[in-house]
Amino acid sequence: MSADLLLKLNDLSYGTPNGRPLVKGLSLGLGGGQILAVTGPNGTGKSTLLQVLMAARAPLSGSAKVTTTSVGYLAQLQNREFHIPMTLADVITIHCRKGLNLAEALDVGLLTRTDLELAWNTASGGERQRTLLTQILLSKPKLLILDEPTNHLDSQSRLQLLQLLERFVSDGSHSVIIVCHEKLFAEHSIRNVSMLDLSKYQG
Amino acid sequence: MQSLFSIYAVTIIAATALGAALAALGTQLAARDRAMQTMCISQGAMLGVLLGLGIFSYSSDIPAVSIGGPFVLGFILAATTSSVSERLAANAGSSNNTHFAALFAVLLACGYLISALFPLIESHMSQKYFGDLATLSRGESLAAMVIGFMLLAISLLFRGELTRDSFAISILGTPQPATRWGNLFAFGSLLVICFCIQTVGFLFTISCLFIPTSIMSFGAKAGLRRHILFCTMIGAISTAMGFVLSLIFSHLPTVPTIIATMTLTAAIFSNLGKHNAKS
Repeated sequence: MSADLLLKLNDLSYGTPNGRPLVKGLSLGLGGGQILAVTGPNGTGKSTLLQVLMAARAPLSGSAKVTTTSVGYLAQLQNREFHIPMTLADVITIHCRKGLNLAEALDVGLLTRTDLELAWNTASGGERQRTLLTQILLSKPKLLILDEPTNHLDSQSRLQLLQLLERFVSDGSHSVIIVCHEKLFAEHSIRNVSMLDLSKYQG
Repeated sequence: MQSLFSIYAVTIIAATALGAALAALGTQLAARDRAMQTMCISQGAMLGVLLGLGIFSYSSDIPAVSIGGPFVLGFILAATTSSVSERLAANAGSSNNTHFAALFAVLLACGYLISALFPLIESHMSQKYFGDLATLSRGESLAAMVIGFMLLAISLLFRGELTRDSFAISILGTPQPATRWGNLFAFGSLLVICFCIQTVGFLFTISCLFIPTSIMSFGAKAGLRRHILFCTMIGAISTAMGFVLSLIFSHLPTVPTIIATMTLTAAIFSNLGKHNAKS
């Protein structure tokens, strides 16, 4: 594990927008080479924690410090249709640098050439999710923050994603924070995973 | 007939450029689910333009005041409407469209009240709503041409960046991004809408913005470049064709003829897409 921390939480407390406390006294450090799985029942503040980390919401007290600017964030997919009929290749192209070769998107390993020709509006939730993950990974972030990325994935795609995350952190300089179901990592043998159960920190 | 075309040559080119540019802009507004909000902003701009006409047109002979005054008031009221509608959307417990429809009705009534305060602008009011491209002055036509080509170039060259923001707002749930592109888009579209309301009218503006992208979204074949390019072509072709038709058949009103041509052209393009997708 790298000695440099990518994330430092110091006695962090946060709540809902109307001030109802959710989590109290959360302290941890996340170094390179780690996957932090954030779990807990509905309403315990899992997605809110990610919003605090992305500075989209202020904490009630304490501090949350992400020490790298190279962050890839994937919010929960709402599965909406887009007015402009785009292909999945278009979705990747508009988010990536100019002159991107789509072969690079295929190298990430989540999509096939046939997938890229699919229309966003007729693609399944899993295909949409894998497309968004691919475009985030193409931006080569050091810290990946994912909010329930396995929601629309079948069991094979879930395993594929987890193995990809394991490879992503394997060089010791990258990290992942993932909000997920508590059973996700119990079902699959993935290394370097730390579990954070937010139900133990309820305010 | 030839002399008629030579008289209107600049206006036809200007209207064609504006029609194409508005169609390209409309794809982004529709992708951000801003169609109903744009109706409100356009009505806000109309209110300012009418107020400006009432205050400045009959009190000043200086063109910078009689034309610039309504434009500035139009921009101020459009910006205010945009801000109010954003606040309504942010605090809405139900569908935004309900609040936008209510706002539109209030603004429409205010427009009519203004015409009651300044009875001399009543004829201007119907012209600003339904437009008449044939009555554009040479100066207005040249300004429309410059703005049309500039907007067209920006919309086509930066379609990736603009669509990325539209995608973030619509699919990822990101609020209006405070990026350079997000701010430029918000400010630029307000300016263009105000200019169009004042020169080519409400009906032409809204139609060019939303008819091509609405009908083309039913096309079967997906592709960002294809959609924006086809919408732009529909805007350009139908504006030019409709304008020329209304010159040939002088009893046809210009803007409604353009809109009828636009609807037909868009339906043909959309079905071409379906045919290609099947083959």
